[in-house]
Amino acid sequence: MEDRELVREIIEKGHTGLFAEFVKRYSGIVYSKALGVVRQDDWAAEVTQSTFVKAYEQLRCWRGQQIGPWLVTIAMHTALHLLEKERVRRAQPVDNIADDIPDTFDNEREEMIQRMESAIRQLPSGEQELINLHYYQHQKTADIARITGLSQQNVLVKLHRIREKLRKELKTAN
Amino acid sequence: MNYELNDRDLDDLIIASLERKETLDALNGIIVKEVRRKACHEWVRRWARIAVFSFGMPLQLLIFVAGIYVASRLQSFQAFRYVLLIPIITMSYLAWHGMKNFSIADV
Repeated sequence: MEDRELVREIIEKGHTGLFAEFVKRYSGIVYSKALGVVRQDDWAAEVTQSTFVKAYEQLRCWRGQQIGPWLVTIAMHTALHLLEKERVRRAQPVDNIADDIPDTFDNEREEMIQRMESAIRQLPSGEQELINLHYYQHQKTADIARITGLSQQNVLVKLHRIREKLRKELKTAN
Repeated sequence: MNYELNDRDLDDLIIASLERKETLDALNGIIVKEVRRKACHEWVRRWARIAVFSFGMPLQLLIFVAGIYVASRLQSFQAFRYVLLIPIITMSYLAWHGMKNFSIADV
C-alpha cells in the first residue's frame, strides 16, 4: 500500500494498527538520520520514538506523496531540540557536548551498516535465519545444524556462500 | 568509499547490522505500543467529550428546571436565586468547554 493510501486508511477509517507499517518502513532511516545528529544510540532511539509519536499526532497535517521526508524532517527538529535541551542542562555549547561523551559515530560506517541491513533483508528467510543464528546468537555449528536440520558441513558451506553474497552486494551497492 | 572488506571487517559489519535490526525491532514494538496507547486515550477523550456535550447540557437543564420547581415550592426568592445561579454558571461553563474542544471532524 502506498503512503497516501495508508494515511487515508488511518485517518478516515481509524485503522490505527496500520501505523505500524509506517514504523516498519521508516524507523531504520529515521534512526540512522537521528544518529547522525545526536551521535548516541540511546538518544537516537529516543528521537525515533518521539518522531513517530509526533507524526501520529499530526498525521492529518501531512500532505504529500511519500511520508519518509516528512518523518526525517520531524526527526531532525526533534534531534536538534534534544541537543539544545542537553546544552541547557549541561550549560555547554552544543558543539562541546561530545567532549564529555566518547564520539564513536562514524558516517562511513553508518552508511555501510545501512547497506548491509538492506543486503541482509534481500536474503531468503532461511539464509537470514542462518546468519542470525551464527552471528547474532553465537550458536555453534553443531547447534545450528540441529536447529535447521542441515549437516554441519552444509551449514559451513552455506554460511560461506552467504558471506560472499553479502560482500558482493556491498560491492554492487558502491 | 572502500568496499573491499576483509573477512573480519565483513563479519563485524554483519554483526553490527543484525544488532541494529534487533534494536529497531525492539524500538518499533515500543513505538507501536505508545501510538496504540495514544489512540486509545484519544478515543476515550473523544467519546467523553461527546457524552458530556450530549448529556451534560440536558442534565443541567433538568437540574435547572428541578431547582425552579423546588424554589417555587419553598416560596423563597433567596433559594430561587441560588438555584438559578448554579445551573446557569455550570451550563455556561459546559457549553463553553464543549464548544471549545468539540469538532465534527473528530467524530
